[in-house]
Amino acid sequence: MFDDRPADVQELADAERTSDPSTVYDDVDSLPEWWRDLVYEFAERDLRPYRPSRLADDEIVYEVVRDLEERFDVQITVKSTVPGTDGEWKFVVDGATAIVTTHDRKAEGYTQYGVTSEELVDAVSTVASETS
Amino acid sequence: MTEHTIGTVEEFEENDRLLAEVKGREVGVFRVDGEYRAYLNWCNHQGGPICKGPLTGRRTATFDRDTLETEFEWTEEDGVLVCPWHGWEFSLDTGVNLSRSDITLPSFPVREEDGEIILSL
Repeated sequence: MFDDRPADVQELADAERTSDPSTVYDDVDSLPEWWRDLVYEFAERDLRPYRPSRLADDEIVYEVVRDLEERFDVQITVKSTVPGTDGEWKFVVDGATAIVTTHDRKAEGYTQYGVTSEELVDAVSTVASETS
Repeated sequence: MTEHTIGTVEEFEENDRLLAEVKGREVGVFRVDGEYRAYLNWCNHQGGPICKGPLTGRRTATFDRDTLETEFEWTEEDGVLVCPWHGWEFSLDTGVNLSRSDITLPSFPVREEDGEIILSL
């Protein structure tokens, strides 16, 4: 099961682990409140420093989804029922699947989805217009 | 704490888990003996996607000093969650690491209500 891991993930196996956010952030207090709270929560739990999920163009998932929910007055759920590192994930808008994508946890410690923010906006816009 | 509906019980009919990203956190929900468990999708070791990992069991050995025979038994079928990054193993029921009992997966309250899976963060 471990043969297909990227080399940088394999190298982490014996790497020194730290929960110190200063290894990732120059100034945690400059982050948005939701992000800062999670950085502190992860540090308190002695986990590797929190890094938020990104879309394929490096836009932050939390913020893109929050803005889309406000713009279209919808509820967006990002989810999967498929185990395994290749399992597909879905952006679901008020119960309807808007787009299916990949989900990859990078060795740096963040998740990256395979869809760009532009593609996500288009998909959510389409579903929102169909259901309104 | 706020509540979030992340899915329905129907989604567990053909699947053993429901993963979701909610308010910046990724969480995996599993059904264990009719009850639900929700864990952060973040391995204590190096932040691997633990909740995407396979479920397995434990092989335990019992040595009989009189007969000098060892008996093996397979237990906890699908009760052990394995991180796909480096193989760290956790009890699906308690979230406790099998090798180090002082390490536990962060967990969240989760319940079923009217067929919906409701997560509290």
